Amino acid sequence: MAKMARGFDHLFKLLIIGDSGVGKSSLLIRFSDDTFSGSYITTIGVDFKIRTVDIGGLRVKLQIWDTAGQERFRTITSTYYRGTHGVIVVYDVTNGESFANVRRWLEEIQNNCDVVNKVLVGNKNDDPDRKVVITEDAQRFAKQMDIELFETSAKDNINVDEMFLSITRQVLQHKLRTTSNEQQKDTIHLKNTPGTKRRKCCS
Amino acid sequence: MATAARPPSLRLGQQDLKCRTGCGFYGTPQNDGLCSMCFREKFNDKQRKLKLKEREAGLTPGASSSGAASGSVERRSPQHGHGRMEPPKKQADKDSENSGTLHKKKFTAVLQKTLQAGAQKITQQRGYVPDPTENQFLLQLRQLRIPDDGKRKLKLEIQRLDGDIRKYMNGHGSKNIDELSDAVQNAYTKVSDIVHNDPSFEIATNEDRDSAIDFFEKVVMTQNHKFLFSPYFTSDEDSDVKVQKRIRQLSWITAKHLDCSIDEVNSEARDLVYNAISELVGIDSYYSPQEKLQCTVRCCRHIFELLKRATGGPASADDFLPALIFVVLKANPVRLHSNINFVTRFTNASRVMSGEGGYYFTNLCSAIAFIENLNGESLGISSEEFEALMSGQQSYSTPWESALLACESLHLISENMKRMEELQKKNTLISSGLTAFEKELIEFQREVTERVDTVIAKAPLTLLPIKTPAFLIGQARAQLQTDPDTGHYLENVVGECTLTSQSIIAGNDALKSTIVTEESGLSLKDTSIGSVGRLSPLQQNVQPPDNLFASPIFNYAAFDAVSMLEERSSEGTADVVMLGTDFQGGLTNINYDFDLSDQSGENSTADEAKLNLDEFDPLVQKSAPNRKPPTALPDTSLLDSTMDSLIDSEVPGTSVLLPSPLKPEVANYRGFSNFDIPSISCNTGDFSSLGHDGVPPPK
Repeated sequence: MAKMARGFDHLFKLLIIGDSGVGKSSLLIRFSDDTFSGSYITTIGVDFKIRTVDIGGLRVKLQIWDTAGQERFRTITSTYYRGTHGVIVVYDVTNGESFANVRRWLEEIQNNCDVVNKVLVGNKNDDPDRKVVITEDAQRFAKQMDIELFETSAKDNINVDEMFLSITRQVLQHKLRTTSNEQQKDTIHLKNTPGTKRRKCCS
Repeated sequence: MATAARPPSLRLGQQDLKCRTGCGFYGTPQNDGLCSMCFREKFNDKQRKLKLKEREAGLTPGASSSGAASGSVERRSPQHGHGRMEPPKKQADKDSENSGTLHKKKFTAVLQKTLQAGAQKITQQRGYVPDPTENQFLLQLRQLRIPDDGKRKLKLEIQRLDGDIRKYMNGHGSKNIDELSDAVQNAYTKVSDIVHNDPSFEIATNEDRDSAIDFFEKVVMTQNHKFLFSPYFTSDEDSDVKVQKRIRQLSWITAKHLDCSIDEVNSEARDLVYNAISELVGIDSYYSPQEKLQCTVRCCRHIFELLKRATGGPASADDFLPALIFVVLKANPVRLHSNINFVTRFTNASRVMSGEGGYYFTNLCSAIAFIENLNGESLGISSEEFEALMSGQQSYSTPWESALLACESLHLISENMKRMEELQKKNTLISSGLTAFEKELIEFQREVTERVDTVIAKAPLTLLPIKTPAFLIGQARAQLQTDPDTGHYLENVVGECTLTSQSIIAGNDALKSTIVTEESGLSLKDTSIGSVGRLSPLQQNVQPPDNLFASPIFNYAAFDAVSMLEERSSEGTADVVMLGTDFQGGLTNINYDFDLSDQSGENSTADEAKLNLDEFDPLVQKSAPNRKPPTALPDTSLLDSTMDSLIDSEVPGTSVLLPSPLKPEVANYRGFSNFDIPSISCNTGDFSSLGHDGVPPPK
């Protein structure tokens, strides 16, 4: 593998989706800079987030695409899904509607991507008084949809890294599994349209 | 060169804008002054000729370079004035059958005459100019830090793809842009394979490999830009026109419609928007997809900078996309779809799927998709209004447009209008806040009054007359008769503090059993009333009798005695009076007990308990003195004047004057007991001690 000599072994593209105002960008900023935007004056690269993490001795470079969550942009988001390895679906635990919309976001993923690794994130989990989406409900829903659930707080830096590492691990395992499968098949179909393969979404 | 080119360009008439073949359509400089149809025809012709020449010469490597050379001349032509002049000359020589040649020939003749001095220079450069890009690429190729072997291979691949593209474009079969795109993508994959796996690249670093791949892409795309950019067999051009028209129709959209935080009036923000716009418009001026993407990235960085200043923190995609849409709308870049499609089709696919460039490019695509599909709902206005604005029926004025189009003063008006709007908003905010505050105040006042009223209603401070039940009087009387010491006491007490002691004794002996049980409840009431009494101005009234009788002990005691004495003197029924005072003056607690039993309706124990609680409530305490004077004072007077019963008439005074039997007073009292005032000791309720405490001193 020629890529071995680079600064990373794998490069994954993650997408953050969810209603507007649930704290997608805050999660992103927290993860890539380990700072919360409240009082943070940004330097560079904030708008486009990249962080390299180490998982099981493999260096994985994550580039995370933030998306606009407004209702009126929902129809145009399909382009973002191209080449995406994993999707982080975010809702706000203090906003029941954002949780209700999770189902729609999951449908969106289904429509735009065949195989994609997902994780469900309930953000703003830092004030029990304002919390309206109960953990049990979310957990039941996550189980039903077969997604892992995380309740995070970008503000207090709770569970943020764990969540990102979990989706990364998921993507990595998925990739390792599929590449080993491909290698088995490769003996026959080695030159099977390499060009078109590259263009496919969710490699 | 440039100066030489300018004067003639000014002299170009309408005629010169037409296709040189005289077909009547307009020509473009990019097409050598031909219209697109004629150009295509001629181009094919030229290609055939070139190939023929190549075959004659038998030089294969030279083929592509000369092809590229002619290509680069055409490519540069829009930028260099003389390039525009040059091809016509060439063409004129070649194609004598052109109808427009005469004019051109004449024109060039004039030009050459006037520029005789510079002619030499031009001819010199003519041999040099044709392939500046080619030379540039060769230079860059030399600079690539990859082995020579690799460079050779890279060049070979470039030439191969070049040839493939041209062959496809010149082929006569039906053309499909997707096929072409696939071919190019496959070539990229192949080059990537070579660069990463070929032994000739073994020693190269990863960066060098990447730059080699980038170089490959850039060279091929730049050289073939004119074939691959908006090819005639696609509908790109139509889409360009459509989107451009749509954006023009949407010129009424303001930042507010898009909910984005761009301040159209702020000059600093405007500058950043202009920067972003110029980058966005600049996309069209680059040839390779990489450069177009870089341009997009620069544009988006400006927007992020803008948003950072507007929001004071890092911007999120929620803010970014609307801002980008705003910029695209205000920029209305030319050949938008052609550029987007060119990049999507012919750049290395991974480039638009990942990386910063890919991210921004995706956002740009989304923005365009939004613009093409937007309706009233997505802008937060009604569909009727949307239609009216789109069709131009409804007039509009945006600060952005006015700044671009209108005169200064109009823009100023627009700016001021926006500012006024903001001020008005602030003003309404303030006034609504004021009203809310006023309401709150009224509510607060009402609440306080209500609370005070309820408290008053619950625990009215009406001072009730003390009524001694008849049976008690009877008992007391019997007691008095049986107890021989009473008389003695009576005298004693009258001497010092009149009859108080007597009552105490009476209470002690007669009511021991009943009183003790109820004393706790009573004492509570006593406390409250006593304390209120102390706070009230009525206390002042108490003083005179106090002084009068020189009794430093207890106001109530003195007062009781006074009232009793007065009553006795006036009524003359000493017996009854004595008994009354006994209970009331001596044993305050006991008196209250009686009081309770009488006024069962109004003055129940429950109320008393509440009153006591309220006593510790600061609110109530505050209010207590306020309401006391009006209620208590009339009470006293009224009762005094109207009540027939002696006992009743006594009450107001007592209740008001009653000091609380709180501990300090008990202590006080003890102090007095030291002064040999035995009668007072009865107040403690320590009846057991009375037996020997109270009795000996008089003796």
